[in-house]
This record gives sequence, structure tokens and C-alpha cells, in this order.
Amino acid sequence: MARCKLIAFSLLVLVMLSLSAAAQSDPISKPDIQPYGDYPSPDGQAKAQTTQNPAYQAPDKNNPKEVELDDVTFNEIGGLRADPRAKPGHPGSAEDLHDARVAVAEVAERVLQSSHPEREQAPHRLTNETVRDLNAGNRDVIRALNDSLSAARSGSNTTQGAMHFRTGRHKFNSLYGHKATMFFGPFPDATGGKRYLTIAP
Amino acid sequence: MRTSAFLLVSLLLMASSPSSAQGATKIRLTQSETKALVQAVQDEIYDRQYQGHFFPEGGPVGDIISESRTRVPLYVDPVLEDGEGEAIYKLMPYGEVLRLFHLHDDGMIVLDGDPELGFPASQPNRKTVYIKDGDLDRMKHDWVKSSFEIDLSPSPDTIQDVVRRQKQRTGGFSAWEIAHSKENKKPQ
Repeated sequence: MARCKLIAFSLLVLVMLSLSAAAQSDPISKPDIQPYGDYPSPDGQAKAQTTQNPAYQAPDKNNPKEVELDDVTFNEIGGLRADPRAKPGHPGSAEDLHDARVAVAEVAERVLQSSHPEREQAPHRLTNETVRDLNAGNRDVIRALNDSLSAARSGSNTTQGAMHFRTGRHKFNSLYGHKATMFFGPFPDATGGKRYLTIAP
Repeated sequence: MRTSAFLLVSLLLMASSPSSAQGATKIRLTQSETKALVQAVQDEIYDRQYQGHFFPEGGPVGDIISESRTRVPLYVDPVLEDGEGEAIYKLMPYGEVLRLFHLHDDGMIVLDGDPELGFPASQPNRKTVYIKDGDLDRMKHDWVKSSFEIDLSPSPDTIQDVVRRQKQRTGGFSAWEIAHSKENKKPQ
């Protein structure tokens, strides 16, 4: 009887250990950086692609608002990646990440259109590192930029007029004293760690 | 009996395997890892050529060591969660920042976020002016106090080493290389 109990207990612990190991975050592999030679200025955006990579969809240069919104959205959450283990439509999935970008684009646009557009957000231009990654054909960055543009163009109101967002290692109960209304993630960050997005009115 | 022994051995093996080791969500930062963090902070400053911002007219940022060298406090949360830690330090020209960092398996420390984003309040890497005074005081009081030194004019050899390490950390990106590549392309 004691032997049976020991076996049963051991099996239970084995199962729990396996589940625990599976639940750990796998380290994110380093971006697939390729050799590069030319560095356009962030203002000039980037052009280079390879045939194996998704095509980069540049924002409409004649539409500064779109460029600005695209870049702010990417800069705010472009480093986040969909969790490959998340079920479609569930927190952390590619769909959830797209919805998060849409939410950020919506709030960012409201801030830019508000009477206080100077309220600090991420910069309205891509950083040198992003441009370098783009020129190097980094697929994750190209996908994130394309998705940011799609979010910027969505013109939706999924956040129902929300004016605040924040990314962090955990969810926030409130922002600016307003109870949070939407949460996204957790998403793996390109350099490691997990990030959530919180939205509040 | 044999089955029990097998299961016990399996348990011990699993407990000592790397995947189980990763299961330890919280670990304490060692002295050598703190040194690696100091180097990561210094390397980023030199790679981005921020060192001049630590020596503004009127007096340096930090405690002066010499006319061209200063020591800047660095506060580090001694506990890493899932390989991710937090530090507070003055990163000029932005001011004091709360910065996340990642400890890699090879002991290398990689700072989180891109300084060009300017550490806005919406990001986990943010300027400490956005943190409540009480929280900031508590963090500085409870965390390990270390420091890093900044030289106004690092030698070319130092810069070469910095660029090499930065490229290892970032998968090939060096702000210094990009800046100098642009300079070299300017018409003579």
C-alpha cells in the first residue's frame, strides 16, 4: 500500500513538474539579423527587403498623420511578439497582439488630436535600431510595422474613447485614477520578459 | 521496488535539469552579475556617445573623480524574476531612469528598451519622475547600491571593445557604428 502511494505521489509530481516546465517562458530567439551596409535616416524610413521576408508596407508619406501614428504605435509596442503557445484569439495570441496595436493606435490618435498633443508618448519617428532592423530584413520587425500600420489605418473605436494606455510587467488596476477597462497580453518582449497592455478611459 | 527507485531517480533528474532550473522564477543577483550590469550600462553610454552629457557646464552628474571622470550611483533590485531585473540610474541626457534588464544564460546582461524612445511614462522603462516619490525612496533604500564610472574621453580601444560587446548584446546593432558610418559618408 505504501509502495502504491509512493508511486502515485511520484507520478503526480512528475506530471506537475512537466506542466511547470511547459509553463515557463522560452527565451525569445535573437532577431534574425542579416548583414547590412546602408543606413537610411529614420526620417527616410527604410526600403530594403529580401524575397524570403514579408513585404514592408510603408505608410503614406503624403499623409503625415498616418506616418506619425504608425511610428508611435510601433514604438510603443513594436517590441512585443505573439506568444506561439497562445490559442488563437486568447490573451497573448497574434489576434490579441493586433487588437493591442489597434487600441494603442486609437488612444495615440486621440492624444495627438486632443488639445494637448504634447502629452508625452513614444517618439513620432522610428529609431535608428528599428530602421537598421528593417533594412536588415528582420521579419519580426517588418510584421510588427505592417501590423502597426494596419492598426493605425483601422479608424476603429474598440477602446470606446479611452485616453490612456500603459505597458508593463503586470496589469494596472487604474491609470490616472480611471479604472482600467481593457487588458492585453501577456506578450513576450523581443529582448525578454513578458509585457501587458492596460487601457483606461 | 524497482519502479519506485526509477521514479525517484527520474524526479531527481528532472529537478536538476535546466528546464526545472528555469522554473525558479526568482533568483538573487550575484556580485559578478552586478558587475556585468555595470558594464552593460557603461557600454550603452559609450556606444551612444552620451558621455559628454554627464559633464555639463557647471558640474558633472554624479561624484567627481577627476575633471574628466565621474562616478554615478546605480541602484539594483537584488531579485531577478524570470531572468529580468530592474535598476535605477542617471542616464543622461534623459535624466534618472528605471530600467529593466535581462540576464542571459551566458551571464551577459542586456538592457531592455531603446533609449531613443526617451523613456516615456507609457513604457516599463521610464524616467523616474513618473514614479511616486515614496515608491522611489523605498526602491533606492531597499535595493543594492552600486555605481558606474564614466570617462569623458574613452580611448579608441575602449570604444572598440564597447562596440563589440554591444553588437553581441543586441544581435548586431551598434549606435556608434551607425553614427560613424553616417559621418564617413558625408562629402569631404
